[in-house]
Amino acid sequence: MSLSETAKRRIYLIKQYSFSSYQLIGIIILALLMFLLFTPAAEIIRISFSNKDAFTTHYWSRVLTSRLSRFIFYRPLINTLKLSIGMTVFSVLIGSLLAWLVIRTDLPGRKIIEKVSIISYIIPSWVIGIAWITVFHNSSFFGGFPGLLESFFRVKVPSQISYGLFPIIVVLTLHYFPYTFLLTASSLRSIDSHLEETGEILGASRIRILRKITFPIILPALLSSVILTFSKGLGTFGVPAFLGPPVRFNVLPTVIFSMINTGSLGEAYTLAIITTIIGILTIYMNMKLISARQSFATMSGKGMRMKLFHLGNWKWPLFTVVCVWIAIATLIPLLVLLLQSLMFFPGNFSLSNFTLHFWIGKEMPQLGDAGEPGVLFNSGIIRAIFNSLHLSVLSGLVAALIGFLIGYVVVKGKGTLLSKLLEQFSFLPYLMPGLPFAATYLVLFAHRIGPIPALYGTMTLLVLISVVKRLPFASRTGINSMMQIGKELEESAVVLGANLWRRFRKIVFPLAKNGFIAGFLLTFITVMRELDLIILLVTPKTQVLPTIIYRYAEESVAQFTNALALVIVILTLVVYFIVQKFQNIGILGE
Amino acid sequence: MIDIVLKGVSKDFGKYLAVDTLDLTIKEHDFHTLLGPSGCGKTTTLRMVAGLEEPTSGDIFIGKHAVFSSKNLINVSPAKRNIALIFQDYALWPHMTVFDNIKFGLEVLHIKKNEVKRKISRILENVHLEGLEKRYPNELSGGQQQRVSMARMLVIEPKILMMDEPLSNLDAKLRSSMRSEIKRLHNNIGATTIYVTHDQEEAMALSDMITVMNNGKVQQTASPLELYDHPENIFVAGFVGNPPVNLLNGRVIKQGLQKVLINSDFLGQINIDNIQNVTLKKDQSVIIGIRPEDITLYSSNPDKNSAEATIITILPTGSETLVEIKLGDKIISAKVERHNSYEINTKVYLAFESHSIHLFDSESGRRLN
Ligand SMILES: Nc1ncnc2c1ncn2[C@@H]1O[C@H](COP(=O)(O)OP(=O)(O)O)[C@@H](O)[C@H]1O
Ligand SMILES: [Mg+2]
Repeated sequence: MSLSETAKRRIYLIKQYSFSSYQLIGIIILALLMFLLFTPAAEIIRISFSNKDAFTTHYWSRVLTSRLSRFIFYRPLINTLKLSIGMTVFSVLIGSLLAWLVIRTDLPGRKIIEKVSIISYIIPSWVIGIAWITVFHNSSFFGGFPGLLESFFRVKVPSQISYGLFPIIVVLTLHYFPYTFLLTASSLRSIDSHLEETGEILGASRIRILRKITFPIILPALLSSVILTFSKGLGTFGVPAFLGPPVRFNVLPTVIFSMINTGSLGEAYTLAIITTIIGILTIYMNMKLISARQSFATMSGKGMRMKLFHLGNWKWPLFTVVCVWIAIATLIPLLVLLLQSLMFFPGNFSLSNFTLHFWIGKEMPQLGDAGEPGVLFNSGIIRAIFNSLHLSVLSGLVAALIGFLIGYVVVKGKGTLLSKLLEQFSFLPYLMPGLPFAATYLVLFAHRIGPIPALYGTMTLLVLISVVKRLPFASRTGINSMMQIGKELEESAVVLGANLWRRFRKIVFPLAKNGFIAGFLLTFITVMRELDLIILLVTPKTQVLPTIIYRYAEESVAQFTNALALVIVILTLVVYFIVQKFQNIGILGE
Repeated sequence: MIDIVLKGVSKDFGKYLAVDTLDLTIKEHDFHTLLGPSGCGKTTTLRMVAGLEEPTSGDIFIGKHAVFSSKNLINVSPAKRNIALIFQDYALWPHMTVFDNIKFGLEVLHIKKNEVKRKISRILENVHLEGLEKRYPNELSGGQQQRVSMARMLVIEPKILMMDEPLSNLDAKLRSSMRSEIKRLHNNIGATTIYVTHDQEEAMALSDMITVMNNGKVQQTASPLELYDHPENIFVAGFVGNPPVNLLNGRVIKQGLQKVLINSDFLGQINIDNIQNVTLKKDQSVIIGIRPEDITLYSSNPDKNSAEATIITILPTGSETLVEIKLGDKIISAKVERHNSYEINTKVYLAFESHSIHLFDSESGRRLN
C-alpha cells in the first residue's frame, strides 16, 4: 500500500505548515501593511490625475505652473526648506555640542542635564509654540490680548519675532535638539578612550585627535541626525500652524491642510505626493550615506574607560549657559502656560485678575467662547481627554503587539525573503510625512472598501493610522528585543515538544516583555500629543486633546489653550517617568 | 533497533555547502561523536537530525521511520522526533528558576504534579544540583548551568540525546570532571548519544564510535582506537592524536606481494607489509606517517642504518616528555620517558618498527597499508 503522490504532498505541506505557522503571521502582517500603505498611495495619485474619472494634468499644472503656483507651491516649498534647514543646523549644532559637554567633559551636573534635556523632546513642539505666542504676541499688530512681554515690560515685540520663520525655527530647535543630543551622546559614549590615547601617544595634538579620530567616529551619528531632523521638518504641521498664519507664513503641510478644508482635493493631493517624494528622497540619501559608515557605531564594549576633558575656567560659564538653555526648552514654557491659564484677562497682572476659573470655573455664557466651564468640569474637554487616553492606549497596545510579532518573524526567519520584506516594509511609514499621509487615509476610508466599512469619523481610523505611522518604531523595538533572545532558547523548547503557543507564552513573551512595554509606552506618549496625523481625520465626536487645543487656539481662547497644553504635558510626563522605570528604553524611535 | 541513519544528507546554505552527501549510521545505545575542526558542519548535522534545520536533500531515519526524506516529502517536526538536544551555550531560560527550567519539558508531556516533583528531585540528585532549585541561571556557575541544561533534557528520559560541544565553555579543570560525569550519565541512562566536539582528546575519552568530518564530508567512522591505529587518510591521521603524527615524504622503489619498498626522505629505505589491494607505480610519491610515541631515540647509533637528527627543544609535560628533533630540513616530534638525559643541540639516532608506519598516497591522501 502506498500513498499517492498528491496525498503525500498534502501531508508534507500540512507538516511544513504546522512547523512554520510564524511565517503565516508574517505573511498576514505583510499583506495588511502593503494594503495600508499602497492603496492610499495609489488612490491619491489617481485623484491627483483625474477629474470626474477623466484623466487630467489640471491639478499638477495648477500646482506647478499656474499663476497660483507661487503662493500654493513655490513659496511654501521655499519656506519648508528654510524651516527644515534652519532647525536642522541649530538642533544639530546645539545637540552635538551639548552631547560632547555632557559625555566627554567635566561639566558639573552632567547626569542630571542629560536626563532633563530629554524632557523637551517629550513636550509637544506645538505646546512650546503656544508658550511662545503667550510671551511674544503683540496685540498692536495682531489684535487680541497682549502677550506677556508686551503687558509686563511694555515692549513692542517686532512682528518677525512674534510670528513667522524665526520663532518657528527657534521652537522646533528647542524641541528637536535632544534628538541629535541622544544620537551623538551614544556614539560618543562608544568611543573607547584607548582610541584617542593611541593618538596621544603617537604625538597628535588635542585638536588633531578631535578632528581625525573623535569626529570621524561620531560622523555617522551626526549625519543621520542631520537627515532625520531635516525630514521631520518637511512634515511638520503643528508649529507652523500656530506660528505662521498671522504673518501669512505657509509651509507645504499647512497649505495641504487648508486646501483639504476648502475642498481643493486635487491640488492638496498633488502637494501631498510632492512632499512625500521629497521625504523619501531625504531618507534614501540618509541610508546611502550611513550604510557605508554604519560599522563604526557598533564598536561599543562594556566597562570602557573614559577620560574627561577638563573645562577649567570655562566650567561654570558653560554650566550657566547650558542650564539657561534647558530651562528655556523645558521649564519656562510650562510656567508660562500655567501663568496664562490662571489669568482671567490675559496681560493684566493685578492680583485680583488671577483665578482658577479656567480650571474649575462654572459656565459663563456672557463671555462667549471663553465662557465655557473650566477644564476639569467641561464635558467637551473631559470627552477629549477620555478620547485621547482611549486612542493612545489602544494604539500603544496594538502597535506593541504587531511590533512584537514582526520582531519575532523577522528574527526567526533571518535571511529569508519574508523576513527582509517585512523589515523593509515596516520601515516605510517613516518615509511618509504625517499630514500628507493622513490625507491619503482621508480618501481611502471615506467609503466602504470590500468588507471594511467606511471608517471616517470613527476612533478605529485614528487608531489605525496611529499604529501604522508608529510601526517603524514599534517593529524596531520588537526586532531589537527579539534579537536579544538567542534562538536556542526557543529551540530548546521546540525539542522538548512545546507548540508555538506554549513557546510564546512561556518563553518568548516573558523574555520580550520589557521590549513590549517599551513599545507600548512610547507609542502611547507620542500618540498622546499627535496633531499632524489626526487633525484631518477627527470629527466632533472623536476630538482628542491636541485637536481640541488647536480649535481653542483658532478661536483665540488663550487660557483654555494654555491650560490644556499643560494637561497634555503632565499626562505625557507622568507616563514618561513610568517608562524610565524600565531599562534600556530610548525615545529615539519616534 | 532504534538506530539513527543518515543517507546522502546535504545542506546547502546558498553560497555554502555546509554538509555534503553525508552517510552515517549511529547504533542504538552508542555514544557516537562527530569530530572535526570548527566550521566542518557538525552543528548543522546535529540540527538536521533534531529537525531544527531542513536538509536540502537526503533521508534521515530514526529506527524504522523516516523523519526526513526529500524524495518522499517527509519532515517530522522536532517535537515528534523524541530527541533531546543540549546546546553549546546551554540556552537556559533566564526568566525561570532551575526548577522551572527542568519542569518545562515535563509539563509539555502533561505529567502529574507529584510525579513532576519526584522526577525533578531525582534528576537534580543525579547531576549533583540538590538544593539549587530556586536559583536563577545567572546565579549559577558555568559548570552548574551546564548540569541544569543536561538535567532539563535528561528529565524527559529521551531515547536519543544530542550534545553540541557541551564542554567548550568550561575551564580545563571543570571540563575534565564534567567529561567523566557525562560518561557516567550515559552509562546510567543508556540513551543513544550523539556528541559533537572539535576536541579529539574529549572524543577519544568518551566515545564508543567517532565520525571524523571535514568540509562537510565524513572522513572516517570508527572506534577511537581503530581511528588512532588505522586512520583512513592523512586528514584523520593528522587530526587525531596529540602531538600530531609526523609526516614525511617518500617514493616507491618497488612493490612486492602485499608489500612495498620505499625510499623515505631522511629515513632511508623502509619495507612496509600489509599493503592494501592497490598497484603502486615506481617513483610514485607517498607520505609516511609515524606517531611520536612510535619513535625511539638512541644517543649512540644502534645499527648503522639509523637516521641521525639533532634535538632542538625538550618539552616535559610531567607524565612524559616531548622532544622535537631536526631531521634533515624537517622538524618532527618524539615522545620519550619523563626521566631522560637528552640535551639540546646534541645528536640522536632514530629507530622505529616498520609496522607502526602509516602509509598514504600523497595525491588522494588515502591510506595504503
Ligand atoms: N544559518 C546558516 N546560514 C549560512 N551558513 C551557515 C548557517 N549555519 C551554518 N553555516 C555555515 O555552515 C558551515 C558549517 O557550520 P556548522 O555546522 O556550524 O559547523 P561546526 O558546528 O562544525 O563548527 C559553516 O561554514 C557555517 O558558516
Ligand atoms: Mg558548531
